[in-house]
Amino acid sequence: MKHIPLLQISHLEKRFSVKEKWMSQWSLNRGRSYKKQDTVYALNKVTLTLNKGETLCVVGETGCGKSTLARAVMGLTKPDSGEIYYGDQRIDNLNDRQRLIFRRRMQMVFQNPYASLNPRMTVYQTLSEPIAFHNPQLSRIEVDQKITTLMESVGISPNWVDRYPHEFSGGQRQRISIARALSVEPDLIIADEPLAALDVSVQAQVLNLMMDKQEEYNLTYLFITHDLAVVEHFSNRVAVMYLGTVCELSDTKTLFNNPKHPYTQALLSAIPRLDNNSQKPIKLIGEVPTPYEAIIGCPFQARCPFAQEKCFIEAPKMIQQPDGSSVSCHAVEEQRL
Amino acid sequence: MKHINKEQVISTKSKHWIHLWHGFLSDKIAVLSLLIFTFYCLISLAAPLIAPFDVRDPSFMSLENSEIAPYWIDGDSRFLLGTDGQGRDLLSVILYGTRLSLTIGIFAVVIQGVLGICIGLIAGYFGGRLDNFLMRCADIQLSFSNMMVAIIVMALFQTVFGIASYQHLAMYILILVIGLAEWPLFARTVRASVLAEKQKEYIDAARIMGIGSGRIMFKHILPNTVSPLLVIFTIQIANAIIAEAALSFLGLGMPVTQPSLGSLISSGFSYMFSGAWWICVIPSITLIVLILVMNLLGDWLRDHLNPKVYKD
Repeated sequence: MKHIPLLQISHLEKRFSVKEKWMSQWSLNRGRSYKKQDTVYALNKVTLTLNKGETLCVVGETGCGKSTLARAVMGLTKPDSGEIYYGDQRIDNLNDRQRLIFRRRMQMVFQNPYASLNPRMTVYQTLSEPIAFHNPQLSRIEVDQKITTLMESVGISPNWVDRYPHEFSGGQRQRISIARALSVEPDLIIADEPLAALDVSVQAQVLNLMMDKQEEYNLTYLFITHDLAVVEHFSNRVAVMYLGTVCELSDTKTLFNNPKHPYTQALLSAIPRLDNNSQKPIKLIGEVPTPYEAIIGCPFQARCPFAQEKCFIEAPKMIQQPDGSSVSCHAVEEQRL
Repeated sequence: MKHINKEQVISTKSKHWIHLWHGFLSDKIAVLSLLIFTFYCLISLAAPLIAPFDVRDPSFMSLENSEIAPYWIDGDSRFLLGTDGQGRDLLSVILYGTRLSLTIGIFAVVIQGVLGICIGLIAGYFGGRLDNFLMRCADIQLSFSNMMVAIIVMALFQTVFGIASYQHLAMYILILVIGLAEWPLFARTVRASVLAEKQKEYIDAARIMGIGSGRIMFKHILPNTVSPLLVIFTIQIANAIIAEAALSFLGLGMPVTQPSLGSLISSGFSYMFSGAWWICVIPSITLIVLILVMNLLGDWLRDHLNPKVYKD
């Protein structure tokens, strides 16, 4: 398969200021006032490439910047620095009007199906709005036809178009969300933990639906999750994120057979297995710190069992490994692992 | 297909309302309030038809008929509720006064609502500096007593334009003054709901579709903030009527020739101790019942649109 890059993210950074009120930013210190602002470094130079037709899973703990990455790509939050390219066009600095043509090309499915549909709009209204908005030339009958086929394709009876979201179950709502995302015929769908709020049996249904749609429309997925079983089942490539940086990026098979980064190793060892009980999970010390200051050195330094002096001084670079994966770790680089 | 859709829309919509309706019927006070309120609306709409005298008729006012007591005391069958100090039939005057008070109340609240909803939506949705600015404006507005603002504006208007043009424009000025004075209440309520709704993912979904801010504000957020607004609407109409009555009582509202309930009470007040109590008391009772009924309706709406009681 030829790899045509569809979405390129390079050195993306995003900081959030914690205190928003300007009055409380000023503090007094020995009679002199100074401005103090706490910032959280949510994304630190994230670089990723998404190829056409593939599924890239982004995994990581809560608070590692997965959702921020998705929102930055969709233009919901403005990144502080870095670039995002769609095809060969830069999209991170566009205004709303310029971005409109890319809105059709990329869509998003959200985590919480109970909040992602407007409770006061029927399914018909929810689906017809984007269709009519992006295809103003269509007549009402054509829009209706489109909605009928869309609903059938996600396994919801078209007779239910005039129902409100609260009349559907979580899985059905998530299907409607998927239908809404598909309604503008996108190439890329960013799914921000679409299965997290669903029952396990329903998760499988929704996941299969997403895989079917991928085949049908040749979709590209950026799939954010923390469920490693889903990753193994679903994705072509995996990016492991820790504290706003990508620490390992490789093919799914390679990652599961041969994890290299100490964090990935710990993450994979934590999957409960039925077949193999001998492997003890690697216990990491402490919790994910909240990055209030720009990190010097490796972001994983505080919890890494292999951390050395160099890890506290110099940030590791993403280095291509012989088996095709990329890892950012001094220990892997120096072959200490 | 379309036909079926329409029917289904009606059935799902009506399901929503049937629920409210059943809750409504089980509440005796609410039913009574609504009946009285519709009665008020009907008589004020049909005032020219049911009033025994035409208020525009010059012979309507004749001093020889002044201060006749109500029918059950005086036995004068021409004047059911008696006459006021200028010899006007009190029943006719009250009918027209109710009509005027309700008109002023409703239109003033429409102005309040339009202003407040727009400002609240903009402040809540865009946030940041704009939000700060608009909400500080609301604070400033609230820090003045509404009555004080109204009194100053009305007094200025009377002196600048003279009494003659004032009499023509009094109603519009009252609507404007009362309407402009109380928008912050709406703005704050809307803003609070917008802040809560803005966090939800369906707003993000709409933004991702490329839908403009105006459409998101009015088509996606506003329908989700309707329940608290309905409650404020009813209670604010009552407040606006009270404000108008108070201004009229102070002599800054409707002129004596076009009396609202407030100015009737005001003019009747001076006859209170000369024995003609009905000129003051009957309009007062009319006003009090109207305000009470509106407040009861507002209370009932608030209880029943509460998401804990009625979940959608």
